[in-house]
Amino acid sequence: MQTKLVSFIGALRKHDVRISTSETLDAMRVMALVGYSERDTVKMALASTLAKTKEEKALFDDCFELFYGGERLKINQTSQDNDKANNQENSDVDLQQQIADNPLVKAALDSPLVQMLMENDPAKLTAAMAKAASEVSMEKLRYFTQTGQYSRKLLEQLDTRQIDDSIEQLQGIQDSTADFVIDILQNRKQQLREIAKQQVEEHLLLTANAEGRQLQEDVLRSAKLSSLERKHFDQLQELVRKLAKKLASRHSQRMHVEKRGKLDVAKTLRKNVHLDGIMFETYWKKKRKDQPKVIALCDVSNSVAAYAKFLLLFLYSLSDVIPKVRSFCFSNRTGEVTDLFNKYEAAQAMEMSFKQWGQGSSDYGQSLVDFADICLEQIDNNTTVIILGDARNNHGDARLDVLQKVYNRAKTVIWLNPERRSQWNTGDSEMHRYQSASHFSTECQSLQQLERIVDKLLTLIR
Amino acid sequence: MTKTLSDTSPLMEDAETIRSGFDSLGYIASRDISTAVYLAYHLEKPILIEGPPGVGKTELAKTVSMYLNLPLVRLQCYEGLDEAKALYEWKYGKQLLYTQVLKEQLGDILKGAKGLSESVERLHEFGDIFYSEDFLEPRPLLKAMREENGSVLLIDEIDKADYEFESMLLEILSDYQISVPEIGTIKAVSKPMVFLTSNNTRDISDALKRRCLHLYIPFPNGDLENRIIDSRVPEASDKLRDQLVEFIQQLRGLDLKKSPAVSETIDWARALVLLHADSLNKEIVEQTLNVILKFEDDIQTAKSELATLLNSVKKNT
Repeated sequence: MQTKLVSFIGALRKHDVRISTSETLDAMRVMALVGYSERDTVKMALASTLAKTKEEKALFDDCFELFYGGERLKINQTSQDNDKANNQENSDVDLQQQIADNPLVKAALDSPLVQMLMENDPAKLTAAMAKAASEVSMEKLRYFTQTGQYSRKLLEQLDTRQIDDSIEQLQGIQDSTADFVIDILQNRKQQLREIAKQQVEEHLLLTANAEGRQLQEDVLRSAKLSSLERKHFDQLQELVRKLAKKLASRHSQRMHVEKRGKLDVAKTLRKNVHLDGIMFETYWKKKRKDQPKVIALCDVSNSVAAYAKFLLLFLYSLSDVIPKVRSFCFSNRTGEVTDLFNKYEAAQAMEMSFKQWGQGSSDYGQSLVDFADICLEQIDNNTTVIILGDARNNHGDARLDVLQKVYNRAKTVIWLNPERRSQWNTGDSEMHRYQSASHFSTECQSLQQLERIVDKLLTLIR
Repeated sequence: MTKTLSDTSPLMEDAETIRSGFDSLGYIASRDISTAVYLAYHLEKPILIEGPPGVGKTELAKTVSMYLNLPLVRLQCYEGLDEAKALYEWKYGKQLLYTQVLKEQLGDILKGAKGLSESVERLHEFGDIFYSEDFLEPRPLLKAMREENGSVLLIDEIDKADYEFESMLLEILSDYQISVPEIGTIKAVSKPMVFLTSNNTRDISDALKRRCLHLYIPFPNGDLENRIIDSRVPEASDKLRDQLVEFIQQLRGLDLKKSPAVSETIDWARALVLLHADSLNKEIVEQTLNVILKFEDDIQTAKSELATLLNSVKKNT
């Protein structure tokens, strides 16, 4: 039973439930305490030691049903109504009687699997199926196309030939009981096949799919963002949130900086009045850290819109750590879209702002001027400005002077360019000029790079 | 030596015993809850309880303390909570007073000592009198550790405390001991049962979660809620109870800023009983909506849906 528990935990881990070794040990202690007799209790007990957030609880429920899904192995009698079931039970008893009376038929049914099928005991059948599954090395199952092969293996392991043998022998006996039993056996053999197939498919869902997803996520992370298709966006959004959460938890711990070394005399005196003014408890001056301000200025013209989407998504998923994000979009004019993001879901807000500001060809000069008009005054030495764009200005005026003004006021100016570094400064790119007025500039082609940039950003501003 | 709780109480024999015991104390628990309490008791592990506000997280700890007849030590967390308020503090006043009173004694002791080094040596013979347990002011956590027969320790709304405080708790939660630099480690006389509650305003660190069992208490289903109201507000008539529970269940389906929790249902039932209502109708619901909904927006949303809600309540009860 312990190995089964460990492989269950393995399956949970593949579904992104983070379980430590100590929690595995807890789970074992819990099982030793409550025993395996009652399914619901087992489920609740394991849930309390293994799944520790609401989301994990949901995942746990799914996995548990797939893994310990013993109920469905009951052959027959599921959809029939009570009356019929009762009848059948009666006839079952009759049948047992008839078989016992007929030594020839009894001899024909004398093999373990057939016995089990005739008894129709779901617990035994589950156990047999699980044993067979562990022997056919199910963990090597990877792809959907293998299901047929594996269910056949599973049936071989169960030794279904026994059924065929019995049927053959029974056919030799000319008797109504024998005919009846043949019917039943044929029927149950078919159902056994179905169950085996189901077992294999569920195993695939449980393990192989999770691995596949992991692989896919890795691919998505390193893929070039603009080359991704629309169908991946949902998955990517989820991935971005996951990454953002990771970053948030890594960076959220450095919020309070006490400035030890300077005594807060007034407070110390006040708090020590009851001790006769002797300064026993000391209070130190604290420096309240201002919340960092982040301003994102994104080019949303066709060529780079996809990148802007993910940058914004990333920033707004980090609202726990950086609550003050203002965002601006431009192609040839600039407009603030912060309100849209406050009002609507991120995806919808993006759609709306891209529609409003993404028409037309890039004009960095004019856009920078607009941007400075709107918020140059509010940029201070606690503000980080992130500009995302390919710096392809269609040979217009670059207006570097405006960016320099921003550069002089802000704490940091970061320029993210979705193009490869080797393509910077080619053709109509003004990158080298804008670079001179940024604290640092880097390429951001994939989610992986974006993650690294945001990580760096958080270190910088907090 | 550290005593364990588990070799004593027959009250904790199995989950079902606990559940019926809670029932008799007026706390209607689901099987999830009783199983978690059972496990926590026998594994000697803290429980982290999460769930929306008002579903009885704090109440659970209180009930356990009543059920086991152990003192409840409660620590309410807030931003800025630190060791001095949660663990222990030195009794500065007492220390001061004693040094003043003992001044003369000190003179006697030091009489005849030659030079500074001999005086210091003589003082050393007395050890760290002023930093001994006599001068230690126990705060909730230390108090819970020192209870002879065990206690129930409730650390309420842990999500409001700072990360630093959370890390400080780790030693207490896994080893049931506290380190005081001047004295050494103080072990629990008898391991307390620890409950932590969280409203999920932020994520609790993995390290803390790993040391706890986890219990999520959701809003109760209709059946359970009905029994809760029956036990808490027995004056309400059967018809009223069925209707108001159904209404609340429907209300939770709406898109609200804050869904009404069990505590609100109980308040509402009490209010309706006071108003001598024996069934729900439009006027009385409109008048009392502010008992269950705490935002003006929510009240407006509910009002606009009131007719449909009441209709389906009538249909279902």
